[in-house]
Amino acid sequence: MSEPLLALEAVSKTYGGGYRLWPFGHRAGFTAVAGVDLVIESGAAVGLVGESGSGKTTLARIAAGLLPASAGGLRWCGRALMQLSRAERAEYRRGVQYIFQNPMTALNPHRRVGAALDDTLQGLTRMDRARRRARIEEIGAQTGVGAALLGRFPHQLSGGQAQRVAIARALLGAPRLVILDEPVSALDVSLQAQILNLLADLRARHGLAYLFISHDLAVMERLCEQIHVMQAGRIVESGPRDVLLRRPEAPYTRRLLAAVPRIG
Amino acid sequence: MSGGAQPLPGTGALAVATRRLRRHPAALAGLALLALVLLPVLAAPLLSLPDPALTDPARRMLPPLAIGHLLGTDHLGRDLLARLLWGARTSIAVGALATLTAAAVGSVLGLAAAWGGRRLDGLLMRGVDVLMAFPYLLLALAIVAALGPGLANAMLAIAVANVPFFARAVRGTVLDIRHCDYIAAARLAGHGEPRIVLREVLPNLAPTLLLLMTTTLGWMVLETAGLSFLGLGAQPPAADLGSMLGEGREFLTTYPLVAVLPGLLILLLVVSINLLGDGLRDVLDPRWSPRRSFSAPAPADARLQSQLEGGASLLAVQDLGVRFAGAAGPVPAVAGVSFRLNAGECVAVVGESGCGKTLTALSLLGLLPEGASQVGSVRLAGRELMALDGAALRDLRGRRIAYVPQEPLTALDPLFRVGVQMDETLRAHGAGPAYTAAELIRMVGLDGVPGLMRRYPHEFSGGQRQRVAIALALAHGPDLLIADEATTALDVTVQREILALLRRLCDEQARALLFVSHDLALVAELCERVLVMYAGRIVEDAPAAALLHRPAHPYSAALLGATPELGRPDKPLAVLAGEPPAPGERVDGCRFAPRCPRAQRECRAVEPALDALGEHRLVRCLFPIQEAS
Amino acid sequence: MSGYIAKRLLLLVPVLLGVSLVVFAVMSLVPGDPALAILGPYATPERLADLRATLHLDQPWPLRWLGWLGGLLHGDMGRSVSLERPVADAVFERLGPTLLLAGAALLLGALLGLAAGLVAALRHNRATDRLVTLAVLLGISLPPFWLGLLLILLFGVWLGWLPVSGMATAWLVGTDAAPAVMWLDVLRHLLLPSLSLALVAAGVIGRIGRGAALDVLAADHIRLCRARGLSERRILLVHVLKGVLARVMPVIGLQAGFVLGGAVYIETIFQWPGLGRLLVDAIAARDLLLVQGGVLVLATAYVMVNLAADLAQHALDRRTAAA
Repeated sequence: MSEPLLALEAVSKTYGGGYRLWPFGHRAGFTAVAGVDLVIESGAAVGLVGESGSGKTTLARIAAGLLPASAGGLRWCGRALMQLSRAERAEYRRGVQYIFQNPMTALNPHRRVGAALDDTLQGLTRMDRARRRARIEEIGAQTGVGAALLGRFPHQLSGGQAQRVAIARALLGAPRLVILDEPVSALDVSLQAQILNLLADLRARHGLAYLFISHDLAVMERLCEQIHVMQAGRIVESGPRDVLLRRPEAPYTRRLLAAVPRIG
Repeated sequence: MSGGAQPLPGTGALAVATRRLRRHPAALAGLALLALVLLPVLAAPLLSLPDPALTDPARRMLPPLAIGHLLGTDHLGRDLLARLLWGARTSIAVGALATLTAAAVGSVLGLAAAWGGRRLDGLLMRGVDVLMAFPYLLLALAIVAALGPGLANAMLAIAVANVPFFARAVRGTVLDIRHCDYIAAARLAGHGEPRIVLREVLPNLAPTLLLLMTTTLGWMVLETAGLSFLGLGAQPPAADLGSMLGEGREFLTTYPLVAVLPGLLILLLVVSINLLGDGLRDVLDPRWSPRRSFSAPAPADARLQSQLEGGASLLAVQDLGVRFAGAAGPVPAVAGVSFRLNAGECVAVVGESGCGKTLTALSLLGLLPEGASQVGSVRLAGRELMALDGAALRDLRGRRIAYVPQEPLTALDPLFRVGVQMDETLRAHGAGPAYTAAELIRMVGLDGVPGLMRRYPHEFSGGQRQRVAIALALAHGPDLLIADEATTALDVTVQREILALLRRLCDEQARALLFVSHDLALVAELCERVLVMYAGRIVEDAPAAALLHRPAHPYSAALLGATPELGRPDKPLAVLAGEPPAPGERVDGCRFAPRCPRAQRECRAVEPALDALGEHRLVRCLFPIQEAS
Repeated sequence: MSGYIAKRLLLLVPVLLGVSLVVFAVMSLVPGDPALAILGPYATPERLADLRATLHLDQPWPLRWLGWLGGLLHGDMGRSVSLERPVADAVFERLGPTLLLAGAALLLGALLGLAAGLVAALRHNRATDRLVTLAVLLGISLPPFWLGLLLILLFGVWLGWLPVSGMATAWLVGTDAAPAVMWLDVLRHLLLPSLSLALVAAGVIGRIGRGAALDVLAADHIRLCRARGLSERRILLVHVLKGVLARVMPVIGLQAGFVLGGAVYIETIFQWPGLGRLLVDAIAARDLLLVQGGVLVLATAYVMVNLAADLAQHALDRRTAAA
């Protein structure tokens, strides 16, 4: 059996805390994530559902290497992140990409879209200018980021366009895992449908693994085969989509399911 | 502003800024004034002026327009104009040099503090705190006292005194930038720290820094002048504007011009620099656009005298429109909205962002944001609200019509305890409240929360805050509750509880509810009837069940088709191409036609009316989806 | 709240220590021989050696700082060479008038600035707003020393309405005039100097106040106040005013730094018997101990006012972190 693409082992994150001078003593921090294990197989779509403050975004940022864990660690293709060689680290960097909840703040307001995409390729690959341009065109065609958008500044984009640009940027370096942090919750239903369809398409086309973070179970059900339910920094229930949604065990999962409004 | 341009990284922003500067009256005024002052000052060596240091006791204190001395002479017979121009050169040069020095040193310190880890940050910022504990002029004074008087020392002193200001401001800005997602995105692209600082941080810091420097330049000119005024800056025979003012002070009563003119020149310089700085702040913000002048609200359209006569309806809205004042005339954001609401009925207004649903809700209360005006007719129990003056409208608000906001964290006043806000609400109307505070608290299920009235809004959870807001809305037993996305900001489980509460309160007390939401599935559970809005118009008005199962308007159908449903993961999501038209954007015929899969040629010719379809349904469509299909 | 105050007071100790260290270091790291600077080139070597010993110039400066700190604990700031009396006596004698001037200027500036900001925001984008905005800009750009001279010229020289120098009329001082008469006289003397500083401070406060008022007026909670049916009077005088005050309070604290520093000019112009003028004289006489003492006392006053402003803000807005 092959090693999982990315494994989180007993990951914890505590904010604040430490010693203080007055009154002297140890101050307890806020524990956002408490000892979470999570495995993402190559090509799998894993969902992480929970309410605000449950620690899901913190966990996702740790998985993407954007935030150091307070305890525990990551394994990339079976090897602990700390033990990776320089080349392997670069491969991890290229292999895991992240799509932010608010696409507007994820774009530098002073860089045009085309320049921002080019920056990403420069950082992740050693392509020359012509090949970079061709790659941007190729991924742009798949994500609906046309030549007209490349010349714009971020504030000249609509929310849907900005999220497409963010998706294009994530795909440029041919990642193996894309972490999606509430990628559609800032969008209207009609745009949300466009982006959800796009994400399903791209996954099939590129054989991507997804770590999909959301509070919306209906959206999650469409995209993910495996679902983890998170509450107060811990995973309270995990399982294959159909089992978890049809026969939820944890009381919290049941409450979440009962709260979803249904059409008809 | 359309983005047809080729990607030209770096140069674009500057070009945009220059273009905008030309449309900013205050900045232009500052620029013009600055040019007016600077031109003669810079040209001073070229003008054939007398030597500013040449004394001539025989020709002292000559009035302006004396021969050979355009502005007259001072107490030593020196030419006043020459001294002013040369003095201004010194003042500006010293101010600019001090600004550059302070900005350079301060930026490096601020950047190091923000980027260099917690230890370095703590160390640097404690140092900055200590320096900021001085009134800045005093720090400069102390430095001059130690180094001795002189222009160079004064400059150094002022620069040092302003370093902490720059360091702190730059640190704050860089910390803000550091937490932006685009910095994380650059890390994801594998870029190293130096490149991130250079390419992502500095361009975003540059406008702030430029702005800080412009603002500071004004102060620095003032402070240099101040030190010179005290005799600690320029030493005779050298002079700057401040030392001229200081010398002239002794002759204030006999010959005021010598003191008044240098001060006036300082004022002009600093005013023009500050005007320019204010303009730059706007121009450098990529989100800024030239301000439109808003007109006063237009009076209600006389033509639209209500055709609705009394009736049983609690609320009757007829041809309601909301307009924003735009550069090229009013921009309609909502138009031709008509609907009725019966006592005890729960009706939802549904649509995507920008469709005008919130504006519609706010206009019922007469609470539109600045710059918006409304037309049409709103009748509450037969009484025309559009004809009421402010006081009469205020009397209705909170008493007959109440409002439940979207985000109670910002909608409750954060500076007042809940008890105070409850109390003032109960006392807002002469007739007295319908319920006591204790009754209201029990009604919304907050009884048993310890110290409720003594706590501030931020000390509650989101769900509790929304319950407080609902309690405030119920205080006078209103006939109509308007809830504007009242559950959107809440977690799903809490959302469920609040919905149940709203439903129960309306059922028990036969209260009407207008529930504004973007979530069709949600409103379907709460409301009997749904109004679907698109691009500022109601496109369908139908019973909830009928709408969900047999939508008649193609847009309603598209909305439903695009909504993911739990338990149906394989349902294909219908995709609507494109995006809704912007308010004021011209669309011929039906506003939905450009995106409509069923659009025919007729659709682009005339805008359809909201017509009855069957017994209980109104649709704004020439080709509504019929029952059979 | 009392815990918060205690914490803030405790945090003052390192800041004030740092302030004294900076003052001392600036004064001590001067190139050249302070004794020579004070006594001039013709002093005898004996007198120079004598002065060096009195000023402890033979010790390294950190040691001198500790010695000076030790003295501070007993209220001893050393002896002024130019005045030939203890620094502490001279400084505290002059502190009162400076605090009176700065306090009056800050109060006046805050009231004027807040009023200007509120009026401009309430008349947003109308003629009144533009006028106030322009006036505020002028206020920020005014050199206070020049404004002082203009006020002297206008009200003192040309109109002759108000006295232009000193803190009280000479013939009243030392007589047994009624306290009311005395205070009225001080107020008359106070008006022009405090106005010179207040107009500039009002500019800064008015500018921030306008922005704050615009923010508050557009805030969701003001809309909800209207939706609750509260009267416009109550909305403005209770909700908007408190919101604006909470935001402007730190700026008022910072302006204390401006009025305390600006007092140096104004006291010189109006011959106000305050600490600022004492400092200017001390600098001219190279009396470093006197400068040290004066600067330290003014900085302490500034830090205290800032603390008060922070506490006031915390009282107005309990969300502000007790950091």
